[in-house]
Amino acid sequence: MSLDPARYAELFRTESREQLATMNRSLLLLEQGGADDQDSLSAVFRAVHTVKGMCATMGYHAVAEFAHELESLLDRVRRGELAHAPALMDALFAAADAFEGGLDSASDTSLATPEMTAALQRLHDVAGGTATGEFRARPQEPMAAHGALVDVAATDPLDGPGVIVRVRQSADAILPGVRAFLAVEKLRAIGAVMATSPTEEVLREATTPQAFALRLVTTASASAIEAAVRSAGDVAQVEVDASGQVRRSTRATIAVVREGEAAAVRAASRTTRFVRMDLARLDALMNLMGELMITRGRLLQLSAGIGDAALDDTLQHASRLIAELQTEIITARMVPVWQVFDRFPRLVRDAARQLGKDVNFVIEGKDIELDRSLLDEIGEPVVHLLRNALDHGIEAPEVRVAAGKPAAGRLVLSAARDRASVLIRVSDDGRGIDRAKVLARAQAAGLVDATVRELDDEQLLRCIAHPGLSTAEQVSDLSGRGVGVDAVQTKVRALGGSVELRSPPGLGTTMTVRLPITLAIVRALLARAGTECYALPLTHVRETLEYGGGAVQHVKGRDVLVLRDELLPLLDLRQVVRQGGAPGKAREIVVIERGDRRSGLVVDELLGQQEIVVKPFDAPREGLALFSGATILADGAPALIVDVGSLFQGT
Amino acid sequence: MASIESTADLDVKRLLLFRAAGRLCACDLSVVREIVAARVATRLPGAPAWVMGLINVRGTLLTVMDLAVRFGAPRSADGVGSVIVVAGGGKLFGLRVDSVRDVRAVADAALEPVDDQRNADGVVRALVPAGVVGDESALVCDMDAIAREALAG
Repeated sequence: MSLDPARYAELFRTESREQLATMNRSLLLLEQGGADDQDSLSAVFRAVHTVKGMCATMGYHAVAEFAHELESLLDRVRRGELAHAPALMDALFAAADAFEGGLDSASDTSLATPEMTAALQRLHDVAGGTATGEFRARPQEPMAAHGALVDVAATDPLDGPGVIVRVRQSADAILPGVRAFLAVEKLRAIGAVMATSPTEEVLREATTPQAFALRLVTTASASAIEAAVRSAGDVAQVEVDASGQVRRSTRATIAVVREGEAAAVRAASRTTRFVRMDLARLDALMNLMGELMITRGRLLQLSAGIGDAALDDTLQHASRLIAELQTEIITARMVPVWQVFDRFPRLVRDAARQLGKDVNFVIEGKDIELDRSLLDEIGEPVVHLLRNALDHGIEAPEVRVAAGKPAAGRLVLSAARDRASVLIRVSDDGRGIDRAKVLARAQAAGLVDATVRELDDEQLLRCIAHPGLSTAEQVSDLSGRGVGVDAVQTKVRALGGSVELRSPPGLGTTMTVRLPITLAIVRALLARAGTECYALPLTHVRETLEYGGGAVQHVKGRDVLVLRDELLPLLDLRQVVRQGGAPGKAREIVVIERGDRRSGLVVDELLGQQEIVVKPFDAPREGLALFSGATILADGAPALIVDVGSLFQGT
Repeated sequence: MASIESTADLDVKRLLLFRAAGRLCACDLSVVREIVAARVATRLPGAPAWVMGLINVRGTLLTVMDLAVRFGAPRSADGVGSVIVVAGGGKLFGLRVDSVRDVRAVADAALEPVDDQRNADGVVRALVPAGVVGDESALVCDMDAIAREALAG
């Protein structure tokens, strides 16, 4: 087993961040709910308490002390000694930020950060200067070095199913660290060690005799547990506590774990077992999966040439297994969007306050799942969109009231599934985009023909996404530098998605980001143009049709497709990829769409639908910027993946 | 302080000799990753003429350049000759050549500068004069310059 401190530090960071997110979320609820919201207050309290315990076990004493101070103040709020006021909430939010900063730097320094000191001072000022104690920024000896039995009630890692085993080593123990490590290993042989306090790392490094506790899930009897611990040597006292809820059982009593109870405990722990996994490992799995899929394609092609029934059967079976494996791996990479969305309420609150706006922020579709790597990338663009909505969309309260709207604006962030894509939508009920002003600016900049009278949504998006074309009267701290929408669009397109805009005048603005569910493997249509094969991701494919049959008409010098009641412009894949030669007779049409816009893409032949593995390639200078990547076909030849969204740029 | 021996080592370069567009060419062996048989490349629309396209080398997609076209000769036939896989300009790419000849150690002092007319805008870095690696002179190609010229960012 590994005892790499960096590993624990990483785990600590991840888990403390989760607690911080809970804290922020609960603070927001508390702010909305007011003084009566005891649930939210308790949730804040719990989060701070948990992080305090984690910091203590990691030896991050400055942060632990900060948490302790924070806890004391929260306790006074809970007991009604402190008035629930906006100033207090602001100070608590500031403390949450300082807390987060402190946690980030905890592994580098044992001192309190200036932000932490300032945040506590602010809290004390709000609280009337009657803090429970002086906050000191000084390094302390690790908690484990104190001789007494560890107070397990204060350290949350020990909360959970299993028995608590408390061990005190003999005062004359030689190599106590090694002995403690051995004891943990001995217990591991008879059960699952869920947590230790202090951490295993601290234990192993210890140079003085230790008292430590750990949580063990096992079917072994208390005497067997004790025997296992004692076999490690230099053990003065062992206490096995199976009471679960009542932790402080009489010392000398060794409770007997009944088989039935232990089985129930095991069953309970099974339902909530998670393994944290490095994203790089998931990426490696996905890459191997991709190679396996390409190899499968080749095998199927080879076996078709051989025509052996037994071989075909076996291959079919292998194919099914590979498909299942692929689904499992993709599922393993999926995470709910709330993991990123959860930090937005706080951000929106702060930005709204700064801008003097009143906003009800709603998140919908929190449980929609997205590939981990996509989710990581999408946070920043969404922040841009939220800031734009707050800054330019939602009006100041008095303006809203004058316009007959409620004083508080409504800002909705939603996630939804739509076929092979996920839609992330930011909509506000603000003033909408001033089309006339954008048109004037765009015409002045030469982006739009002077004869254009009005911009449709698509043109509007293209204009506001143009670098340097901002209609904001003043450049604010938040947005309005004219890079927002441009940056969003660039990012989203790099992820194989697209941005759509809808802005009915006076009725607000809705920006929709459409993303593929996963980056590495996409479902695509393979289309032939001449001798070349191109992949068209299904994200932007609506349907396919046979060419001819009266559907294609010649209107005003160009071919259009009559589809139900619509006239769609037609593009020819051969021309798109600048290919010469005469087109074949029997051709097919792929109806592609982006937002409200649809087009027909004429291809020579459709070669079927397939899951393709997206691979990067070094694009040549001056090459057409129409491709989002490439893939390897069953015969081993590379094929380019057409970024269907970009085909609308030219039309 | 470099010793005399190591200074002597530094003065000698190992060059891979190959033939492209009927000329003897060379590049530093240190940038060569492998040599594979030429295969049909997938065309990259809009790319400069000497960019042949993409090939698949055991699951990695490489952009292949045809050195012959860069030197003004007609495009080589698909799937004929060899592709030298090289690292240059922070990228991995392929260079299609007619044939790969030999590896030879050449003293730095033996290399001659190329005049502006024959350096092909920086793609040719130096000249190995006739008599050093054979009867012919050889053009030493600069893989960084090739990557800069052919590939985006």
